[in-house]
Amino acid sequence: MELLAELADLLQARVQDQRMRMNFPTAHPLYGNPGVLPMNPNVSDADVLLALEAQDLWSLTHKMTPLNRFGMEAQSTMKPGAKVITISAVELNHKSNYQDFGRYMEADLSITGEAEATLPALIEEVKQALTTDRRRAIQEHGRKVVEANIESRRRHKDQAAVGWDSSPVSTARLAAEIWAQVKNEDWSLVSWDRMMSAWPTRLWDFSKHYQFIGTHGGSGIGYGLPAAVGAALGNKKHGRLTINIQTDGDLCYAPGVLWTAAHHQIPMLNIMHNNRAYHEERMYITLLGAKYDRSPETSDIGTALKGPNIDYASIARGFGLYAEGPIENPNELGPAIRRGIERVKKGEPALIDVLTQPR
Amino acid sequence: MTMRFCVLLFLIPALWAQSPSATNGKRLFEKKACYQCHGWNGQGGLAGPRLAQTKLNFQGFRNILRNPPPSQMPPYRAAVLTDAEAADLFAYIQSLPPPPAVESIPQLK
Repeated sequence: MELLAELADLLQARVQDQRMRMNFPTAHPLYGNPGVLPMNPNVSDADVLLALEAQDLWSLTHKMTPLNRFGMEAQSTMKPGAKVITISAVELNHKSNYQDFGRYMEADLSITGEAEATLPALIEEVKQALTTDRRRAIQEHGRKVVEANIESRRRHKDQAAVGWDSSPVSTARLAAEIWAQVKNEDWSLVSWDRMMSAWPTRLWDFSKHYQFIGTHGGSGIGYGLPAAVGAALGNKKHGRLTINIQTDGDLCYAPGVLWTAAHHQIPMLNIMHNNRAYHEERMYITLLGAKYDRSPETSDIGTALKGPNIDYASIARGFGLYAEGPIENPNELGPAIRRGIERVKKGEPALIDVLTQPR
Repeated sequence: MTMRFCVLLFLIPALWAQSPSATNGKRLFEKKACYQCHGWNGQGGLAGPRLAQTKLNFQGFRNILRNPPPSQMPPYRAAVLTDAEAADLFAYIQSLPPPPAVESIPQLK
């Protein structure tokens, strides 16, 4: 992470992070707009794209047109003449015909190697290649990137304020309330944040490699809670405050791992992002149905987790955890998180159930 | 005199029928699943942009409803949402209250 920041500073280049792992400090002024979908960073204005260990480079640089009489057509999202350089060990691990060959991205310069190990040599080469004129040009470019970053952060906070006092709790408020309680701790977020519109990425200051667990990989359901318990176990010996923002649908797949956390006294604070649905699926059904002019009124069928509502605090207590909730009033959130942290600091897992907005 | 009175009676219901209803728009916001991506307060997120305090006019709003960017939003054609319902929905979105100032929220400082 430090090496990547050094390279970015040298080049004054915007860094677009797929948030698959913790790669770059989110408060760095050259951090690209985290308000876009983290899996598909915007590279359309780049003259040169240096892709370091990028997964599915084709998807990063292309989009599909809507279905027409020719089927769907691929279009590059990059500027004409823009160059693509890759440094990656991914090429040693071809895993699928569709992604790796059917949608193969031909780079202008493809370097097979481990990106992190390559960075020190690359940084030295860049330093030697930087003339005074080039430094001046990239400083000017960097100034624009920083200005865009500042404006992006301002917009994130402005957006976070919308629905601030609403119930169910907005996901922005949930993230902001957690951050207010953990920012002075040695914390580690052991859950992906895309399901809550990446609000932690947008509002928190991630600066250490262990502060973010990254993505599931395949967007599967049921991965989140067991992975979080595993990460919490890893954090235990370091005394870190482990935070897991747990989606409700995901918990339903393997709730027994809560008992594992209680049995082995694995300290972690689970905070439910309980939107009472398999919501990703619900949105997908709405999207697909509308393409055939079907009204989305039935999108709850098979996707909504209500009737009866699930009492996650009772489930957690049944597995031996300290638990509270469901919390519907956002003003009750801060004190509940503080009580949860007190229990976690005593070395035990806890769960706070929060009734939240969908995304 | 009698004639004028009759004309007025005839016009008033017609004017009412044309006036978009934010109340019905609120109902449609849930029924037509707008909240799923844009949030209950129109705050937006990764799944859909912010609607509260939109700078779109009704024509621009309707155009996006009918022909959204590919793969980003369900198309709401007339079979799913009539023009009158779209107008109600727009009236509701325009009625959403402004958020509190960021400076007044300690958690966002």
